[in-house]
Amino acid sequence: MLLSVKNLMVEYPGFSLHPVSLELEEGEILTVIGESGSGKTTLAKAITCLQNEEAKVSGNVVLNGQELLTMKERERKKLRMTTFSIAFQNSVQYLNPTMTLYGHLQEVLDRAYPRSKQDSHMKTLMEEVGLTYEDLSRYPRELSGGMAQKFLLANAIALRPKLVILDEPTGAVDHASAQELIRLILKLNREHHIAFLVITHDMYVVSMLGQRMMVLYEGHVMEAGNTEQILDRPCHPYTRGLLHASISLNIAKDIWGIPPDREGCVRHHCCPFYGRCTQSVEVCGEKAPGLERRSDGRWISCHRGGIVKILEGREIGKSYGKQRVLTRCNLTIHSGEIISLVGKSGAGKTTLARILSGFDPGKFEGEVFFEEKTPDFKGLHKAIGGIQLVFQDSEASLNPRMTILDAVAEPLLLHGESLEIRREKTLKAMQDVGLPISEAFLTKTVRSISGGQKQRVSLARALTMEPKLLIADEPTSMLDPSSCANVLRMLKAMQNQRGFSMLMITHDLESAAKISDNIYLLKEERLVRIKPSDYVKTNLDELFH
Amino acid sequence: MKKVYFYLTVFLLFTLFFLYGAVFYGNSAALPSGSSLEAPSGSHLLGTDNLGIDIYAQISVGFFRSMTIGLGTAGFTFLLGGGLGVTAGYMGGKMDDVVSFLINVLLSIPQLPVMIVMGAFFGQSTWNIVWIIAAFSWAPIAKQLRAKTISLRNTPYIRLAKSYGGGTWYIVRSHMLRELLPLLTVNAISVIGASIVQESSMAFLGLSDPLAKSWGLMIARAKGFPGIFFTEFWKWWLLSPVLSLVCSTLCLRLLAKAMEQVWLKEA
Repeated sequence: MLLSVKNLMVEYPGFSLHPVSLELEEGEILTVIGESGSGKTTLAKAITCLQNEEAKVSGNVVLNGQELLTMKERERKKLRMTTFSIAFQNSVQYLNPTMTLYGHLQEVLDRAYPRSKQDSHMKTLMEEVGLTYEDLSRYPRELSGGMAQKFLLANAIALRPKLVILDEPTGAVDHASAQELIRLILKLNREHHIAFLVITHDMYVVSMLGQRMMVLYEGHVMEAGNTEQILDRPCHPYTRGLLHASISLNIAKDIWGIPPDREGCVRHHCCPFYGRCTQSVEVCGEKAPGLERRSDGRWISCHRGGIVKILEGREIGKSYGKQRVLTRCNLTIHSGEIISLVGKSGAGKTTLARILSGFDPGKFEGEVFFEEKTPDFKGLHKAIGGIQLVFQDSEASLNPRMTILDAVAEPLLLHGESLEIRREKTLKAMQDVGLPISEAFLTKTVRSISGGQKQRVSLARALTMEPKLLIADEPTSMLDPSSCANVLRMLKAMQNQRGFSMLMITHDLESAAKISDNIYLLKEERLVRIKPSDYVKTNLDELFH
Repeated sequence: MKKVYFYLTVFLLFTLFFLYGAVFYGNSAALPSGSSLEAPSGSHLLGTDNLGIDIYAQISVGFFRSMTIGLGTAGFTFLLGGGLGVTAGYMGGKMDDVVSFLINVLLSIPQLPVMIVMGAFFGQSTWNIVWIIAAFSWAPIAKQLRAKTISLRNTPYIRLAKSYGGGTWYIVRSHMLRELLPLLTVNAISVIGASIVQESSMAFLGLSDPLAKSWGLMIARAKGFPGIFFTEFWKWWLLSPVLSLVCSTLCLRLLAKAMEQVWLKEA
């Protein structure tokens, strides 16, 4: 064990880093990701004992078998640069502007090598980080951001420490330089077996560095585990939010930030993510959850055990007579997730949707669970916050003789809502889907409006019930491109804010790729999860070369 | 819609014409008011029959009797045919089996012979006529409504309404009635015409109330007058009730047809 941090706590006015524990083996890379102000730099400073004086630090930091926090600075100094080193963000600030790079590097190398041997070391170091020996004669102000960062890295690895802590190594550089730096870190890790603790806010860096990651928010560790697994299936709503906001990870998909805190202020003694979380329950507002290890090895701190499962279909199979349609299909929809079910016409998409929604499923094999229980579909269909289904044929799913208002308000009427609430919610839903709400439109009969409007009316009707899960069969097939974009964005925005989940059945792969968190392809009776990013490639970076 | 108004106006004119004859005309429909077999004249607009009773007065009273029977049967059919048809269609299962069986039985029985037998058996009264005709008229209507209800029941919007928690009464009232009512009304109106003809047939055969003034009975009496076609008398005595019968049922039939076009084609 190279580095072992136990219950490290830092407190200073206005911020506290809650107990953080982490372990790092020799030659391992651990990335810590979080938004600005999440305590990443505080953590790095606390580990290396560089914190401000007013900060109170407690806990243990054991590096290479030695306790760092209680050690005298005189002793610690011996370990700096030789056993561990750190490079901060805004790197040029940490260099003396009146000293050349040569001088800086000499200062470090002086600790281990006689001057006569330094030149060759300098040369190899500079080459290792992709700079030249001649660059050493430059002053810090003459360096570009990328060069400065590389030089700092050279500085940090000059004495071949076992651990290098990098704070935002790619924060101030362009994408091409960032890629270069990442490759450099990976190379150093591979060739010199140097362990890296990389602090960043960029999911792309995390995804490139791989190995293990840790997600920090407001001084709390939210999720930690294998990077690849976390990126594939984030378990904490916050991690997922970060992933959704990453442009470089979502080439085909739209990006969305995490909604701002609806509580308006940070409440004490509650889950730090409480105000922004879409699945919070009472207990989340009362106390902060502890970091716990799940059976799959993932560490997560969430009272609800991470993103909750809304609907799960296990081993679903179905035949119509001799015609086999579905075989052993597994599908899970989590809270706040948009899943698309794609496939050719006649592949059995609608059949699967009916089974999952409990709407006339007929006989089928396998099991369906709603919130981990066997669902009472009848109750869920008529409840607020249940399951709603939007049929593909909006023409037939609306009574042509009803007025628009009556048609949209029908579920609420049957739910026994008062006239005012009905009207309010109906108008809200209609606005959400981009329908006019003038009295003239509301009193029109369904039969007199266009196909696209009907589609939106039936969508609005389902939305009035604020479903936890919306199953929509080709919800945009009749819409013109502009309305289609509006409706998809509206659905996505609602998902982002309210955390409702949606299963969208579509043959339109582009739309699916744009808004879905996961896409399943139904082909030859089977359900396969596909990743659109495997099929979509960009080479925007070429512009810089 | 124009046609509907046109036939309604024509029917209204008929009604006014016969209303005059029944109320303001002055000549009795039951007692002789002139000499036997008078030709049409100022005092007897359509002449008199062999007993000297005014023909115009008789067919006027006959019109209201026919209409009463027609409306009574239509009302009865409306309720029974509509009720049973919708119930069977909506509920399905055993209920549907029973109703469908009844419908098929009634549709396969030759109507007139059975009506004659029943009329003879139950005796000659107007009410008996009403319910005997009604008993045979509801089946086709129920059959139509049952089919319509089944097709409506399976539309996605009604299935969705059910999934939102809509009960039977709600579904029928809010989603089905507007489709079913026109169908039922149009059918009921054609039942009025049909039952007038049937009542006349029964009366012609002497199975209706022998004291009532009925077109069928008038035709039967005129036809029974020995050698009527060798005289002039048939021109007023026989032609009047026959034309009344033909014109009023034709008008009702055309009205029903026009309504059908307006209400049922629209959807």
